[in-house]
Amino acid sequence: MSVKPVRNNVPEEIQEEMSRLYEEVPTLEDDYELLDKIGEGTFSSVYKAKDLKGKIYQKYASHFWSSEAKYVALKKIYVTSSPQRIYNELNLLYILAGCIRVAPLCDATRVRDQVIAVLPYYQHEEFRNFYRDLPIKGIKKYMWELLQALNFVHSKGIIHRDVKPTNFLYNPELGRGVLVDFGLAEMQVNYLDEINGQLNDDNTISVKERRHQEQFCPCIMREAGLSAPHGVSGPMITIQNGKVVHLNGLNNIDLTKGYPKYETRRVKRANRAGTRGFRAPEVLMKCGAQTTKIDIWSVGVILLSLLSRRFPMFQSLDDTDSLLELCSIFGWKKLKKCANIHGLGFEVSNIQNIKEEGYPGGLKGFVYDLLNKECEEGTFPEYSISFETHCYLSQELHDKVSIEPKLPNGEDMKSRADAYQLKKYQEEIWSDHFWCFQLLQQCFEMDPQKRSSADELIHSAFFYELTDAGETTEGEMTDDDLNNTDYSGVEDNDVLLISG
Amino acid sequence: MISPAKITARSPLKAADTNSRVPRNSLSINTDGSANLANTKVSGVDTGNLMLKKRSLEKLEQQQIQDKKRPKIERGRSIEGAIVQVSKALSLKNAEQDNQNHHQAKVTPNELLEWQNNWKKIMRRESRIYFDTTDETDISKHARLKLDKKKELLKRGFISLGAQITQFFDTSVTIVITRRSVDRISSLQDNDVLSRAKKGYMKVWNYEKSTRFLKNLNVDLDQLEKEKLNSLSTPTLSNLLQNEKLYGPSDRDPRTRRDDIHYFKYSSVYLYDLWQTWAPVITLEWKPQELMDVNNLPYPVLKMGTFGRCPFIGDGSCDESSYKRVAKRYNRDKANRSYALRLRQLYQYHSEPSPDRTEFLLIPHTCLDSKHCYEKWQQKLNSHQTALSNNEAKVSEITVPKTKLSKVDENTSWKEPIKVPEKTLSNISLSHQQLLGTMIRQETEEFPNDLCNSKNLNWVAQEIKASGVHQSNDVATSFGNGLGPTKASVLSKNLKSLNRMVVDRRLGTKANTTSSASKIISKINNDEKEQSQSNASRINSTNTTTDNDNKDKDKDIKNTNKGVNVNLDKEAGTKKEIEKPVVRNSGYCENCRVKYDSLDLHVKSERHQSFAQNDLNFESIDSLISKLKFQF
Repeated sequence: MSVKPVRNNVPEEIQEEMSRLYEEVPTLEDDYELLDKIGEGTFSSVYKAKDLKGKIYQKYASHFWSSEAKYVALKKIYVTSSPQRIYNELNLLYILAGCIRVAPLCDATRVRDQVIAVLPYYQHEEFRNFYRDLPIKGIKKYMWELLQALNFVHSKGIIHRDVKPTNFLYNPELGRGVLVDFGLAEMQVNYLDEINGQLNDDNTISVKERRHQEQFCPCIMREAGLSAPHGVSGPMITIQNGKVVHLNGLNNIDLTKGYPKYETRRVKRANRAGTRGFRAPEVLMKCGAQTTKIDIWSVGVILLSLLSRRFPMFQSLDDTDSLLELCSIFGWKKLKKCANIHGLGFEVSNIQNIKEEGYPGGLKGFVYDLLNKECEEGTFPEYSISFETHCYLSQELHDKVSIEPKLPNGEDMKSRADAYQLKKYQEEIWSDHFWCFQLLQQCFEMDPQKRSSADELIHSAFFYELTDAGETTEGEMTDDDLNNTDYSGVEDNDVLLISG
Repeated sequence: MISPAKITARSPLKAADTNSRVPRNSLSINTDGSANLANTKVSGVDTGNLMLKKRSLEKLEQQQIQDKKRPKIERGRSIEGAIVQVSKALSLKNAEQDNQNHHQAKVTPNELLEWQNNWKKIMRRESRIYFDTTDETDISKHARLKLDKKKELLKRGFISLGAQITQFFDTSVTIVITRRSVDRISSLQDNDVLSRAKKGYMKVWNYEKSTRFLKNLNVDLDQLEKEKLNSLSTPTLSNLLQNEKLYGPSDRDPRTRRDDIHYFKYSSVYLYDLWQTWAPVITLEWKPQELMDVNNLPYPVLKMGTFGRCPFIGDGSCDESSYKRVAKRYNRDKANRSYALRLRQLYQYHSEPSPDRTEFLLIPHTCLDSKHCYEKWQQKLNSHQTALSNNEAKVSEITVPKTKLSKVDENTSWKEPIKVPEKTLSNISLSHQQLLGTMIRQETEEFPNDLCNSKNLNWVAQEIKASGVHQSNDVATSFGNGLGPTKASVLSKNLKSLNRMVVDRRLGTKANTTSSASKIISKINNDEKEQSQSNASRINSTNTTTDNDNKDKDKDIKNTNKGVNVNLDKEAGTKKEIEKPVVRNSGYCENCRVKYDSLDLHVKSERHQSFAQNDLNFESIDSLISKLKFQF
């Protein structure tokens, strides 16, 4: 399916660009032959190149999906990025070497301010080309690969921050995927330790002292097992009927129904690096204590795309619209509760289309309606796999009498044997769907603490058939040169369980 | 009512006396809440008007008796030596004596208020406070630490009243605060600070007295102590005044409506800090007239749509049931068939792909599909085949209203992509692609997720751009290459929205798909309103013409509006070329901390070069590279 670029097909402009790169970084020519430009991100351009001496291939063989094509990807990082930012990315990649589902940093060069990173080239398929046609078991494998990669990244205490289809290179024919682009990734701060370091003599944290810090968010106070933010250090605010009406005698003012016309308070900042449409609610709400769970939300967005066969799922330009998009699916009540976790009040009034309880029928109802719209309009091909999900959901939502899978009647069955096979197949697919929607729900938990981790999701019932076959993946992981064991995946946990 | 005796024991207020041991004639007062306090005029009265005062005190006494009859008394306070209507500290004594002579005087709320006002005035105007540094000789280290803390607290208390604290003792000092006993001043040496203070008619207070004094002036020391480390909320005078300026007097009912607050009246979204430490995260409001057009609401609406499109964008003006679209999709699906079936084979029974499998199962479905749609159209067309002219009319009937539609309907964000011949598509794909690198939502606008076209375009073009490193919600900061810094500043609303509009236009935001443009309108004051509205409508009109060039190229726009029939792809191509240099090369350089208009020029600049040439800047990267090289 994927188009293999041929040199003479490369447009002139890109040819020029590549020869300029040779000029800028002369040593490049010794090891690599530039073939084509394959990507342009926010902070870098990516070129496909041949590994002339084959030394990258030798060292990172397990990362080369096909043994005959020994290509590498050269990532040219734009000179306007600060050395700190570049170092952060390269260093994280360096730390993350040792997982076959994370692209390792194989080599790097620098000439003045121009930094080139060398990564393996992965023959992947564009998400756009398969998201409409990937069967449920293919979705399962996709999610499995993605969650395994994230589990590894998260186990190192790193938040990717930009999980989306374009940063997860996937090849459906091989069933292999690799997480790339750690340009926005960061180490997760251990907020609990931070708090414990600031304990007062009497073992309490003065919330009042901390609430001016941008990195602070009330959501971590629950984690610390301390009482609710209010009342930790005296009557900080007075709440009447759930509304803050009094703050420390300083400004007796009800700001729950309006805002000061002349604002003098500072605007809180928080890291919100990522891609619109994939940001977790806590990112949109400027939580100062973001965790690896923000990546799990993004995984949920991808899964929602795959199940409802729509991409992109969200489109808003700014965070406000993003929140409203979430409201129209999940309902403002849930987002209000979520806002409270982060010490925020949230009011939506008189907005049609945004309901308290969200989309009727929840996520399932939403996915069903999206599919149903296409079924009515006839925009799926006759061979579409999405009819399976459509059929499953229509039974689940509208046919409460029998949950048992049943085939649409009236169709002519060639033979009883065929009918039996079909029945068996459908039962299997139905149970996959059941667990898949469960997984989707877990990814879209509003409270980051309650949202499942990558490790927990890997152990979800949805993946049972893959967990049982754990050995095969382990076999894949043994790398010729890397002596250190791979910590990604369940294998490691199984060992721990046995020894414990 | 609390008995006078009890009150004496508690903490009789005796700020106005100078530690002269006078009989403590405790006074009980009612403070039924400040609302009951009548505003007594204090200013014009001076020491000479004692008679007048006596009379008023008698009156007050009578009131007091009446008050006693009332059952609802919330709290009592004692006050001693109240009503000091003097402006000079020295003349205080007379007043006090006068008060003390007054038999069993009770202090009413009025008197307390008067007393407070006077002392506040004195504190503000002429108080210089000196803290005695000498300790009692037999004091433990621990006790001293405690006293030091207390001293700091008292200092803060007095400062909050506006009093001056002096470092050195001189004759200008009016109050000396000591931690020694004030009873034995006479026994001290002549050159001792306290005896000098006595001689100079200064007040000498100990810590307890100072605390009482501050309490009676409503200075909440406990509160001060809690906020010790938090300088921001320390109620220093300037701080308090600032707060009062912002939020009005602090003794108001918090629920009353006020002029300096904007209350939401219409449809609104409000996300705010419950602690009110930070400015609200979201404040949005739309006037009813902005929400009139149901098809063009300024906030995200689920439109559902079909054919893989984003449910918040919907199909727009694309009629998927039209013959052209049906045929187009039929062909697309036919070409895609083998790949889709291959995926089915791979994942039929296992989630590990099985490449050897060739058979697959299809669960029959009863839904409408693209093939069915196509066949239905074919049948329809065939039935008309007898009259060929009729048939032609039919086809044109299908397509003609649509071109009309795009002329009329301002919401139309794109044209049938079919009209763009494939050849031109690949021709422009390069400039197109480069453009897309900087434009956020191109793909959803020019061809709203049209899967029929997806394979013609480079995947690069399809990528949704990462937002970069912005730390604020404002779109206003997302310019250029996304590396720009964000400031935790307080930006004026109008300025913010204007910024945002500039960015919106720069990014080529569609008015029909983004709410921002119309949101801004509500935020900008009337003067600017007209202008921005005309901007918005201009954006709308641009939308009808396929591309998203919202820039100030009125000429261009006029041309396109006139010539809807003009060859679209040609126009799109030229337009993109115009736009390319502007958007593409501007950005922010993190190293030089400057915005630049042209990347090439900036990189060659002396400043950037001097940074690039300095190896010290890249030390950490170099050490990492050497680690990597070591492995080979």
